[in-house]
Amino acid sequence: MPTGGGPPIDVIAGLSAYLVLVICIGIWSSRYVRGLDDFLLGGRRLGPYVTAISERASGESAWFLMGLPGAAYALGFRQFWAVIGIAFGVFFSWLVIALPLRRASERLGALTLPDYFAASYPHFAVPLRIVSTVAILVFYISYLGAQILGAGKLFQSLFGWESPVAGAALGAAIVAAYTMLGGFLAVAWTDLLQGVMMALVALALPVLAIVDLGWSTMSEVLIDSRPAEFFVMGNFALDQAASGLGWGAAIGSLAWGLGYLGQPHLLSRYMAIARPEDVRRAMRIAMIWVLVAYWGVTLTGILGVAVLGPSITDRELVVAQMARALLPGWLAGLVMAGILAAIMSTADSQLLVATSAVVEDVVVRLLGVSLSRKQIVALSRVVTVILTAVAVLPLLSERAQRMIDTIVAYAWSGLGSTFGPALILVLWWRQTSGVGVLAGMVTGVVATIVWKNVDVLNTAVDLKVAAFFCSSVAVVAGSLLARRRVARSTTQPGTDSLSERGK
Amino acid sequence: MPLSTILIVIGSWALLAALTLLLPFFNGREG
Repeated sequence: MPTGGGPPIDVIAGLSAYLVLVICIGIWSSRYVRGLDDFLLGGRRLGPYVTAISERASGESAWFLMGLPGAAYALGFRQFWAVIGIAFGVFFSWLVIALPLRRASERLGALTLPDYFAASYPHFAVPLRIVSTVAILVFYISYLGAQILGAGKLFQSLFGWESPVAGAALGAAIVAAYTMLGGFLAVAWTDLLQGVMMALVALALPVLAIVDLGWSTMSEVLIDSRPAEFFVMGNFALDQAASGLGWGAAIGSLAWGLGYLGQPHLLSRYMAIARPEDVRRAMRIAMIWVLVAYWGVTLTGILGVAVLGPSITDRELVVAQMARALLPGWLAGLVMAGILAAIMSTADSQLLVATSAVVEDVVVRLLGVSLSRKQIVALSRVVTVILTAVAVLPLLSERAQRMIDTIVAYAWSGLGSTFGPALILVLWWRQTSGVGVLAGMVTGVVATIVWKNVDVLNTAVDLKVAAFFCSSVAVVAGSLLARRRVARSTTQPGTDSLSERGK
Repeated sequence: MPLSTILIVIGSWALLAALTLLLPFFNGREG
């Protein structure tokens, strides 16, 4: 990875081709945006392939092609615990949430997750909407800022720029442009492109590495360059917690999967699929993606030790460096674009969810502003641009950058435990009440913050497991305590009708 | 390479692949 002269022209060509293509998708899909349901859910007309790949691409951020392979390069096979946890988390989410959420959200006329909770419990609509909207806005604006900063750092290392700010501004401008133009359809179709690129990178690099070096040379070099711990999944006979090889570490890694059950930017994919009958097929496509891409990208990181040597300077760039070592320049450019795609496909979905929280949940539902279909699309576009600016401007100050890092550290577990238990119980347990949902969401946020700041708790039980558990208990306890007091709505409610506004 | 590593990495992959193929036998329910 050059830091002085910048990348060769063919790498820039691959990267630019990708960026031009996503803007074109934005312009093309803008023709289909006529109302808020089009802008936020693509008018619920996504096919199974787009839904599945879009869900996967949005679910995987910069972590997928940088953090995960980087950790596998340094730590070895134990990274597969996180992969296994995530893979089963995705599987469980599709199996348990996708179909009932798709059906119920259409029946209730819900466009967003707060919509769904509010419409399910009309008597608690306002507090449910306020708590869920605040959680979404706080987590997603900082999450978006972190993704954009990631894009800035990628540009910085590619082109040898002095600061990540210029790259962040470029990345943000492109994401905001196509999201603003085409809304959900642009996000979903660019995700399809981005998801395919990500899977191809994860599949091609380990195969090319093995072909290039040969199986026996590769395993010899690997075994010579790394200690024995690199090759084991854990040492469970002894207390190995300190070395990161005990049960605690394995369970902590597996628990990343819990986060998938409560990410609004992924749940909106389930709501947007055109026909409920397609959910099962979409799930199968998403799982094939998981089986190819996750195992492939982790293997890429591990094989990087043999291809690039045991001590590269920035381990997060292991995929980028493998591409430079194994592929011709223009293809390596497409791999760099693939890394950028992983970042942008997450950023665009998060931007759209934050926009939906402002326009649908605050302006239309809480403030009750009545707008025509045209006006509301225009408002959504303006909000998209404003939110991008709100997420990007703090990147100029290093103090604000650190604050974003802090909030993002809470975001994955925070969102998972705020929305996951409540959503699953609303969908599957008839006795779940509005009080229970409210208690579960508040407990999810509070437990995440408490666990992260109290060392005794944090070392005793993994944060992600604990917050998810506390939130689940709160939903059940709140529901049992407030049982039968308020009826639950399963059809379009009169008091909180979602069908009357200008969609 | 320890056998346990090979079993966990390949076994979990195979289990998930099998579950994905067997999906038609699961039935979702409305909430």
